Amino acid sequence: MIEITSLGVRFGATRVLDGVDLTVAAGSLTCLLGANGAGKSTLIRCAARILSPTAGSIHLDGRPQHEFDRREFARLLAYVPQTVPTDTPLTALELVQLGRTPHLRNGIGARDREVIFEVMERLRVARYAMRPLAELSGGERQRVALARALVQEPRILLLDEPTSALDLRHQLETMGIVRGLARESGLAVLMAMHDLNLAARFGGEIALLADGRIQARGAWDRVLTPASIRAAYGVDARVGRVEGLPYILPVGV
Amino acid sequence: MDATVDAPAPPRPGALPPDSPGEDPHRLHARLTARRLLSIASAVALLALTCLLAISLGTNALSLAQTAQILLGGLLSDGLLAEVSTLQEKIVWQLRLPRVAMAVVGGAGLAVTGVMMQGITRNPLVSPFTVGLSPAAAFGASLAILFGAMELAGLGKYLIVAGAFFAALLCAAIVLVIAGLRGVAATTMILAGIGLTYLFSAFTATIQFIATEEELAAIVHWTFGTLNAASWDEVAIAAVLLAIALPVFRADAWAMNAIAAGEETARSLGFDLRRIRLRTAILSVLLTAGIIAFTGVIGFVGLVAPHIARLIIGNDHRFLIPFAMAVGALLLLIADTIGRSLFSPAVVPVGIVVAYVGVPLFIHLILKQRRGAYT
Repeated sequence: MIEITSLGVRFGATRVLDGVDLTVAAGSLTCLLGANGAGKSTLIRCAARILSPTAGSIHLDGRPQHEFDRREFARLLAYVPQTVPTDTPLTALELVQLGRTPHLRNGIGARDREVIFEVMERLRVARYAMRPLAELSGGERQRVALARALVQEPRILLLDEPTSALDLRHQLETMGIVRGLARESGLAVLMAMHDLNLAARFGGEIALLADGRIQARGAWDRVLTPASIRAAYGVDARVGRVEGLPYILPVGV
Repeated sequence: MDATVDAPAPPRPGALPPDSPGEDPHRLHARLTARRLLSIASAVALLALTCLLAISLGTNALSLAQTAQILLGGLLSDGLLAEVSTLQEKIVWQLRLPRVAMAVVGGAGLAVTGVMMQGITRNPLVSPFTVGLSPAAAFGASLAILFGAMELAGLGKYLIVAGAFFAALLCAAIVLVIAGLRGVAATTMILAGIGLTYLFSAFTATIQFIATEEELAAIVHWTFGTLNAASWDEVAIAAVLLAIALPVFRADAWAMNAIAAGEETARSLGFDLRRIRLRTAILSVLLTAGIIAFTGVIGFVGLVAPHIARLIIGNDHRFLIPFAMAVGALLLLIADTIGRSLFSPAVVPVGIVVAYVGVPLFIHLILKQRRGAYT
């Protein structure tokens, strides 16, 4: 569970986040939406302890974020940054393997290997295990990075645009897997993204960020109204359902 | 006959072809580990063999059997050096063996610091020398020579060593403080290092203008990098520094792998990058300064041995660190042996020969390389 209270972040004189309150319960998937520069990544990086906020507090599973030691923290929370470097000599397996380091005592053991293998099969990246990351496509790399986070076996998952490079099928699959993890294993998932349709379809809750504040929070059909989309993105959109599934159709600026 | 030329027969590259989906993870792991351990074992065996060859070669050539016999005899008798009697035993134990040992320790040490410095900066062009160590060491040595170190019979040698060592540390300290202010970022470190490289080169050039002809010759000779003067106490000092740094480096192997995955990923996995980078940089600088203070500038090994090793065994630092050390030791030892055999009794300094040996091998491996590693 993530509890963010009156979070503020400034970079010099620029106020990026201001009085953000957000709770992500265990077992829920929250999609964080907002225009470029709205502060989505900043919020996620604060929760991941990559950035220190200038105001407010973050509690994880009821404890202040800064009380955890580094390894303990990495066993509780996994974070996938927006980009996986391409200038890296690591193979896919070597990257995924890294996810076990917070758990390791004397090197990789039998259970570690099983977790790694099981996750790589589930995300369909076992085929690339021996390939250098630099040789993979953007989408393949993104799934490998997600696999790395899942083998950490975290209770909290922070994802920064995890589907931005995925094809249609892998978008659906990946979102399904992440939602499954939240529902079945009780993970608290906070995910920044730009795809409103995916967010509406898979996000249990939507948080809409604009001007450094949470403008609206809740179920998709309450948050993603033409008016709020107009306000957050400056775009006119139609919102509705087809075959029971939500759609958001941008009409024009 | 120079049997060392064909020495480094690289094992097959560590990266495997695209796998069969669903291979049993335990078998896959066992296969990968076995392959890498085999590579390391082969490199160490090759190194041992090359040591034996290097000891037997020279103006007073010995057969391999004789060499082995003298080595074993020396080890098995109690008195070691005190009891050597024949000329050949003296040659082996007091001349060739310390030289070979210095090549091994120096090569391994320079290689491992190269691996670590490239690791913490995520930059393939970095080595301990990036922070300006070699021109600084040359400046320190030149200063000692200028102030008459050569006229002090016994002490002079150590004055030069101390001058090189402390000048190198001073320069590294300046660069690390500058870089440390910005989190030991690669770019800052490289830029600061380039700046100080020019500065110290200018100092050294100034000294060369002031120096007498004799001093100038000594300065130039020092900068070539040579193992001519290697003695047991020098080997011991370098080995102790290596023994201090190595356990820390090995313990940070996972951290180096994590840094390759990106700054934020490494931090989110629980690695304290600031501390890891600082201790790696400090230990690397100490070890490198401790080696080149005795040998002169033989920096190329620190840059190229890690890459040769990476291309052969892959980037997992748990295996890369020992393997790169073996490669560095082999490279320096082979270069030195060629250097003293080729125009014997004249000795071509190892700092020069190592480029002849290393560059062709390096280019060969680059051409064979799969896409990926730091392109």
